[in-house]
Amino acid sequence: MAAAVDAAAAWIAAFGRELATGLTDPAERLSLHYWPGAIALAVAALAGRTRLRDALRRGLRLCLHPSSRCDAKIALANGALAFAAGGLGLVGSLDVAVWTVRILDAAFGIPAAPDWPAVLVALVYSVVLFVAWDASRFLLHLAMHRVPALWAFHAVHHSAEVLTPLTLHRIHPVERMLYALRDAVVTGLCAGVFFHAFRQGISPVTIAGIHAAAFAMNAAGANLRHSHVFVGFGPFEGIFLSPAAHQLHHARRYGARAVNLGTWLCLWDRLAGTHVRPHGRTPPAFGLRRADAGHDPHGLLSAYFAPILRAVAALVPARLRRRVAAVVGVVVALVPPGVRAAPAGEEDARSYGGPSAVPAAPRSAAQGTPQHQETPERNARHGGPRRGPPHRTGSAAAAPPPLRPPAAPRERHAPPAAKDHDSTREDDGDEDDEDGGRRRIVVGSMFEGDPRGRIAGSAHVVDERQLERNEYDDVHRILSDVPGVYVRGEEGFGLRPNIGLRGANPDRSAKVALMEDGILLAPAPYAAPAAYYFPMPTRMVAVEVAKGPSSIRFGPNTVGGAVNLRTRPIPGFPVAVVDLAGGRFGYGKVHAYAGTSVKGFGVLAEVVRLQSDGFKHLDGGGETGFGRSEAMLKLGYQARGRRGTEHRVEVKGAYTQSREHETYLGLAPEDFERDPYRRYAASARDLFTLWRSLAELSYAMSTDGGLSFAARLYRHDFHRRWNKFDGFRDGPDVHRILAAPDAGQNQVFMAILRGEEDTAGPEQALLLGDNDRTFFAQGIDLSAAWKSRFRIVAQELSFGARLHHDGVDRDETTRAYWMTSGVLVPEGTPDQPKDRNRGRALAGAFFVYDVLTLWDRWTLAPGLRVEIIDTTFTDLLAGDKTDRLDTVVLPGIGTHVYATRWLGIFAGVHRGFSPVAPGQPKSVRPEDSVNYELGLRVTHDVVQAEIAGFASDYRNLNAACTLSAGCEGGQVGNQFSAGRALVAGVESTVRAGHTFRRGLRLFASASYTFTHARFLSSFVSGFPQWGTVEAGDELPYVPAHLVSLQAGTGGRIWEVSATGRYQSVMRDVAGKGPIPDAERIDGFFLLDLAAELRALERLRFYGLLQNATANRYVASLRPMGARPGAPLTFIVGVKIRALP
Amino acid sequence: MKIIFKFIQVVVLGATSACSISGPGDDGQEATRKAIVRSAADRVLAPAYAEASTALSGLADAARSYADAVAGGEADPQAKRDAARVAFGTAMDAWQRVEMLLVGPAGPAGLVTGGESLRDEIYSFPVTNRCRIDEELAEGSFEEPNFFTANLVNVRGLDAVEYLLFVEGTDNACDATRPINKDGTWQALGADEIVRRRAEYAARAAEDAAARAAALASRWSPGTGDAYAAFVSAGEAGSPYPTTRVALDEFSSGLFDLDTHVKDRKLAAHAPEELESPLSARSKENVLANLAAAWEIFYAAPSAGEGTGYDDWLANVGQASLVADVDAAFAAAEAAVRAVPGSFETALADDPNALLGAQSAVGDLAALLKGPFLAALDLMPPADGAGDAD
Repeated sequence: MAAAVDAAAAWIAAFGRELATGLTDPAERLSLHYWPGAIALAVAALAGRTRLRDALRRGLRLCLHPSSRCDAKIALANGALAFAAGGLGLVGSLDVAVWTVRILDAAFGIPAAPDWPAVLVALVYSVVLFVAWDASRFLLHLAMHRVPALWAFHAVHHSAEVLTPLTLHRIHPVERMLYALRDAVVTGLCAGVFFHAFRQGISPVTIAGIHAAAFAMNAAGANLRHSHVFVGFGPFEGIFLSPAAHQLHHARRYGARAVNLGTWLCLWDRLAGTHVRPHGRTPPAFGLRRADAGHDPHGLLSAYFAPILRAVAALVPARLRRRVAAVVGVVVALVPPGVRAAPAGEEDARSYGGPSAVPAAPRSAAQGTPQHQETPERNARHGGPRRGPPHRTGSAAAAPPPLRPPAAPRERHAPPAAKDHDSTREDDGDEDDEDGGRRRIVVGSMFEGDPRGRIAGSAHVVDERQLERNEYDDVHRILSDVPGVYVRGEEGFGLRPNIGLRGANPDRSAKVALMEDGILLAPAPYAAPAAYYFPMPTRMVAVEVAKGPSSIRFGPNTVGGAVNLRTRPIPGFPVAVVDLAGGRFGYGKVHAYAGTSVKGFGVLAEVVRLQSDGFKHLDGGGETGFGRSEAMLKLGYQARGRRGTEHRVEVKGAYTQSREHETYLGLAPEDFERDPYRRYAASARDLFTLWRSLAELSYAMSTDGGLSFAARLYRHDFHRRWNKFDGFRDGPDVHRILAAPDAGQNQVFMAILRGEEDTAGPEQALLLGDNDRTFFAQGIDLSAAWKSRFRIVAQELSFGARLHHDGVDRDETTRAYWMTSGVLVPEGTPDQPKDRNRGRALAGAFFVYDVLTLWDRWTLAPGLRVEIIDTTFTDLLAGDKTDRLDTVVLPGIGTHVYATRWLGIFAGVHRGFSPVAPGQPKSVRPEDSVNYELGLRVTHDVVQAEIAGFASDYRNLNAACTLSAGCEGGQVGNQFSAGRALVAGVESTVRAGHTFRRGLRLFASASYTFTHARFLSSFVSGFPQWGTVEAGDELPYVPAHLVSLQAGTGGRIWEVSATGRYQSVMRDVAGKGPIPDAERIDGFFLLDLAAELRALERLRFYGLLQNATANRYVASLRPMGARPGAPLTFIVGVKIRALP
Repeated sequence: MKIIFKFIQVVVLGATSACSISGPGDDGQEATRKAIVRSAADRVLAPAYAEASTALSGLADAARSYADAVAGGEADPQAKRDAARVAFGTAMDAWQRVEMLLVGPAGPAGLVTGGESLRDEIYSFPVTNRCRIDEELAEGSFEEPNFFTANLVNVRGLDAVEYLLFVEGTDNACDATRPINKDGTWQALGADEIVRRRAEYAARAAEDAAARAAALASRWSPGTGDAYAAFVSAGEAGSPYPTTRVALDEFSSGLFDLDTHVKDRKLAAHAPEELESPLSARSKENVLANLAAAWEIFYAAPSAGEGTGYDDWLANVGQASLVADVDAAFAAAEAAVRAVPGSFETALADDPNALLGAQSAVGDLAALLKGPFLAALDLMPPADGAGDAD
């Protein structure tokens, strides 16, 4: 240990010296040698124009700008990388020189050295070197700007929004490597040629050991090239590139096609036609538009990793990318077979409600732990067969035996069945599972820390086995098996899901606390809660849903509840899995992950690529598919301290990139009837692109004394750009056109949408929005829990605090097009600004939650949450700024009592809340409700069942206007209040299973939700889904009945299952009585079939038939017109375990 | 226990809410509202639709007479063309009243109660397409029996009639890339045939519009019309208008159209071709008719002393002074429109800002109606764009 510390200290000291060298070595432009010249020039340029104090103040501002901070981060990281790698040069100039001499000598023989004076030779060599350096820099720089794959890296340098001398080092490591290579090659070539010709080593003319001309150029204010001091070279401006000329190079207006690409001489730019003589003042803006940059200009991780994906995308044709998947599959499939695989478990989505008889958390006994049986990495986390942890809460006796199958043969890394059975029965549900004598610390699960799920309130987990069984990529389908969850499909892939819980408006899942590993995942959960990003479900190992009082631990939205997605944990031993699938409509999936743990250190890397050609077809042809890539890297270290304290540190990074030819434009009913998978010509140019980066650092500890603590830092950046048809310049609302396409002038606009009629005038121009939005979210999340027991009272007291800051920058414009002969043709008028605004939210959240259990039978769980939310909204077009501060206290309490060993009764009440988005006037109140639930839970050997009534009594029901909700541009961001409303209903779920002696298994489950959702006040609202509302009207998009049925059977190596879902009719607009056709979303039934064959231990084939009855149904009438659910789709895939 | 009790209470409340929850409390003005509804139906809506039907019928007759004259080879059909043009003016005057009274089937589908967008079938401004009219003319399809039911509204209605009656010369409105010009179809017609077809097309379009206007008028006919019956039964069981407020909100929406349709569209023009009726040079008369109709909406009658209108409602709620303000604003707006020299078309040809004064005056009127008037009676503006955070 001491040696390691010494080595680290030595490394840090050496790195420090290396950094200091940057200021003293004349070979570095930032060296102190060059500052006098730069300062003198700056003083000369600024003297008389600005006061020293102002200049210094401005300089300080520039240095503290987020872009400058990022410069420093990149410079530091590059330095560390280079230092650690011993320099990034692949080859040295000496190597090149030697090879050059050898080649020339071999080709031309050894010449007689000319008798030139040494000074002349040195001078000529200096000039040649100077010119060669400058020319090669220019050429490489030009390539950096012109070759898309190279520009991906060079954009990091150009994304700097302010320029400081340190911006010189704001370059991607790949670019740094390329420049180092260039230097080695050019210098080596020149040296080699001169050595060949003059037969002696030649040095150029130097000053302080540096090429004299280079020294002179650096001394002539080179450090001002990256600055805001606009200094020209006057009469020499046409010969040498001045600082001002280089500042033009960085001017935002030039973007990737920059000017003044040279370093010292103007000659190359003049030859290439890229020279622009500087004049006037410092360019008004530096940097790139975020979409052009392709990464977050303020984020180190984003700047490092986004260019790599972008470059790969630029280099590898899409078709080739698809084929790689097939090749990889063939190669890996050749791995020699092992022993026969274990059968699948039969448990599925299960419910944990209230002070449950069922142990909490996805690893609990009630799940039958199928994922433990079948996923080695999961076993690895448990250290193989469980060792029957000690009873901490002493409550196992009170828990009825969980439902689980009899023993089945296991694969070699799976725990023996009997042992597993025993161990899971004994699992007391707290977090101290033993893993090779080491307690497992889990951070990021909603239920993992709950003592046996005694929390009153519904809680459901869709575990890894169930996720794997259906291999769903659409979270709507995953969640539709959970009672009380309402989903509204949109594009058929679930790319931007709409999830509501217990009647909360599902639009963009804005009313649900969406989390990934316990961290809010929406791009800006407070400032802009609409979840335009959703992680790919295929890389999740569990989806957790909390409703009722327990949801007050997961704000800010507490009305409906919370949904948490759990990513794959770092495995305990080497694991490598590849999952390849293909299917109808060009569906393709490549999913791979690999990881291991050694001596407490663990690593996991996971990548997913999902793509489809889309199931819709455009009038006139065009793309309707998507391609999304996600990568995640986790690094962890766990150590045991003194007195049994476990510590765990984990770093998680992820990056997502997506390109989706998606639109908001649906179909008119008649067209839907004829062909639901049609897309109108007006949507031909619609394209959604996004990138997201994530960085999280977590620390967790737990002691044998029942104390645990976790701290997590997180930063998420997200950028989306959606070019899509918004509407007509001066026509009716598109939603109305599609609802009544034959009515009056709607006919004309309808014909234009279809491409059948040409635009006849400016008022009929189609407006395509360029909705460019950049989001960030960052914060720190702290939680602590203490478990204790005193005689008959067991207690777990938990606290949490979160300081969160997020924001959104909207820069939205519209461009007008005319429909001409079925094609969208730009009108040629300038783009019009639509929205330019900035929302920011700073939120502090605190909760305390206590679970008291008396006599191991009665549990009482009171809790309290406080949210303090400070928001600001700046309308950059209007120049308005709005601030507001909301403070809310959210109490809740739940209880559970065992009436018999197998029957529990639970009840709870809590206050529901949903925050107000920035920019709303103070008169707009937050969503506020009192939520009740009362239920019974049966836990029996054969059957588990739960039935719960729920009611949300809204004192104020809110809706936020988004384009996806059907709002028009001017309304977006507005919040609408409906006043009082009531959502009440019944949720129920039942499951049963049995395994016969020979291993044949049967399993079945069902869930049903009835919902009665009514407004209790009358009002007229601009929110298009409400309109004119009378008290007693039904809420839109809340179906009265939701049914899900699943049944299946399986043997040792096979399994088949069928899942049927029914959703009853919904309203598109509030109302009561018979639903008008134009506002009616008919009920529909979906049948999905799944089959799998575990042919070999390492090989699992699966086949899916989704929407097996080829049901054509309307998933939604929003945002504009009827949107179809996905048609019959088949997918076949293979999952290969390359390791272990 | 208290929680359970409360829960049951909430569930019971919810279960019975659909039938037990009452509407907004009566503010004592229901009788006034009923009277306004009745007055609006009897004195404004039904007469306006009937007059429009009569005027369009006259236009159809005149246009047919002109078409027959051209087809029959009369030596000088110009007089009949002039008569048709005069009849067009009369029809437009009547129709521009209806433009502000788009309640019931004439109103936009999905936006007003019982809306069927029948207005667009008769007059589809600003959705017009002269090139398409010329293409249909060149093709001769307008003479097919189902042309006016099968084709889009931008090739028929009063706007098509205006183009066909008032366009001069024998050029078409399409650019050179369109097939009728590229393949010489138009040129092959010859001047006489173009004139004949235009006259015939105009006559058929006018007859179609007149028939539709007659059908619409019959639906507003007191006693027999379904639209009339639905409107006057507002607030009664079975009526599509759940309350009298809803009916009056829709009736008064014409007042708010002064802002969007008149001020921001018809008076926002800076060049003659941006006007509503540039060929017939009747854009000014259109606006005056719109103002007159809006004034009738305010009084729910053709004159201030008749029936029961919003003026009476204002007086009932102690806002009588507002009546005078509105009256004055109407007068000022009308005066400002009349003050534009000559027609809008000639005024704009001389001065692109010629309509600014009229626009400002109508804007003042609209602001008064959208502000104090709307607030005093708690009326709802049309659904478009009305947000809590507006």
